[in-house]
Amino acid sequence: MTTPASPVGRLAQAGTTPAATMLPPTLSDLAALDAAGMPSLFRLPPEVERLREEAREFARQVVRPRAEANDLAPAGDFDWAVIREGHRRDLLRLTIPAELGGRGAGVLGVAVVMEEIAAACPATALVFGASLLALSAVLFSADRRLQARFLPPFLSDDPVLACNAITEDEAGCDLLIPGNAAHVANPMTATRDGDHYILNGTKRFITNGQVAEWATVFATVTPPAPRDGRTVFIVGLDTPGITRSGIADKMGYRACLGTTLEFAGVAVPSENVVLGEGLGQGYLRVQSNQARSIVAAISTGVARGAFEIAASYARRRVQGGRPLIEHQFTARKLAEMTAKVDGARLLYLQAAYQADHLLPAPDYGPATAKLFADRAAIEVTEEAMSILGARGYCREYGIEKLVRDSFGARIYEGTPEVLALAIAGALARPELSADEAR
Amino acid sequence: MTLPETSAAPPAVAVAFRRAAAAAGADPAVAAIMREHALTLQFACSDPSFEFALRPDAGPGANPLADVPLAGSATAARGPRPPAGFPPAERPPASNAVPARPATPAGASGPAVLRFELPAAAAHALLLGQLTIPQAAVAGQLQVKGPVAQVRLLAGILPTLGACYGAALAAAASEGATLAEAR
Repeated sequence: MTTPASPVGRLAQAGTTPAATMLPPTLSDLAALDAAGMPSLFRLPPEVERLREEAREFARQVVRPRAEANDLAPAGDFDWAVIREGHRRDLLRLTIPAELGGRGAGVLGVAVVMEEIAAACPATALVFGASLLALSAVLFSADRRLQARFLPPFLSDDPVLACNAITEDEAGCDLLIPGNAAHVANPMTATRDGDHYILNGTKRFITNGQVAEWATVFATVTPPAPRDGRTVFIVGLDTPGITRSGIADKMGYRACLGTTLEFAGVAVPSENVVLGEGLGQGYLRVQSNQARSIVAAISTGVARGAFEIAASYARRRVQGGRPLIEHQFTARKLAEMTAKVDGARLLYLQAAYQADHLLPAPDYGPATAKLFADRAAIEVTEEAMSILGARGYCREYGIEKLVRDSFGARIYEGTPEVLALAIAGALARPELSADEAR
Repeated sequence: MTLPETSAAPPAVAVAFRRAAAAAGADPAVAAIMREHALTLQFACSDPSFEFALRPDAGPGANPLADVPLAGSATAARGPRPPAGFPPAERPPASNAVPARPATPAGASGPAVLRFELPAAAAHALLLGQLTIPQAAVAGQLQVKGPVAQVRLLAGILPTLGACYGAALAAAASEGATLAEAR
């Protein structure tokens, strides 16, 4: 990776980037806010507070200084150095139980960590988040044999990544919407062949697909298993028949690689099935509702990162003899921005708490959190760009990167349309219905 | 997944669940796990509807058929009637802690730390090792309420509970337990 060339990059390396020196503490620091006389409804458990502090340090020392260079690098470049340092700080084994050598974090812990990293670079956050998502299948299965085979690499000193392969060449939302499975065109198939399954098909836009050691793969068993046949497999990506190709040249999130994975007659042992045949769609719902809380945290981080840059700039930039922040129009923008960041954070904290205390996690909370946070990220970054004017349109403050990044989370882990269906579906169920006639 | 039909009709199964829970709670290894992690379990079964709890040391001397207050029951949710003058005119500052459910001291009564809501047939299959908790959850057969991270501790509890259940099931069937007894 190249040395950051912009003023922000150079400042960040010296530890004096505007975003690193303003607003101490940031609004995500609930304990500090409480101590400062701004009590919060939420107080993070001590172990989550520690994770948040560690993640903030990692973001400040490692992620932010490299964010611009990684963003400007060619689409196929991957910064292993930042992943290596994150792994040294346990970020790739965050969710592995402590008794197995990990940090034992739940959804709340992961979400809080993701906000901190995403405030510096959401693409870097997603590299870690996507790997943790893939890992969740092995952990959730409670299958000791799977865990013994696929967790140890994450407990070693060298960093390894996993990826979660859902999206296909001709299907994205149909794979996420319950009941739409029948409409999936050319789904990836898994055909029983003795004590193996033979996988055929194409996965697209798979974060970490280019660099991962193994993948959590969703495929449809043929002939159909009970239910819709959707089944989860753990597949080593060095298995013969797998081709990694087609790295997406994305508008944002450029530090993580969205890759096409081609499966042509890939033999996967039957012991690599997670939970059992036909349980893939049910697992996907569990996984999505956990992941949506975490993606909401990433979007919150994007919005917060943009807000912090804009607020700092508005305090220093003088127009008409007064700092921008004293001008009513700018003050109004900043007020709306910080309210959106705070609102997004409260929603994701609530959703993550629910995911840690209900199994399966509910549809409603995570979907509303992600819907709100994704929109907040787009709106806040756009307002931040308007406050910085020409400087926001250029690369030097990192705002234009965050604007591009802000649109990413609106697509992955559920578009607004998919989320709306989940929310409306939950509202129609008796426990959330306000219908007096019930 | 079906309940045994003739050898142990549903009422007998309910009795067997409770006796198994009492026996497992008295098992030193199970009790140690539960005490170390301040863990208590409540199973709320449907079709037929009955409940049973697993707490450490709830073995000999304990009434295996006694119900305990449930986290989700109306009584537990409402709590006792508030005293006169409540709420006080001057209220203390709000507690802003994450509303985590306080851990119940091991062996104490009160809401269980983990509550499992599932059809009786699924509970039957779970204890006999024919179904795992993750499988039941993704199949829509089971809802767990409480700190989900603690569910993995059941790996050290379910085998003992299952063995106790198998024995209790046979005994209950031979005794011809009735639904009234189960209640």
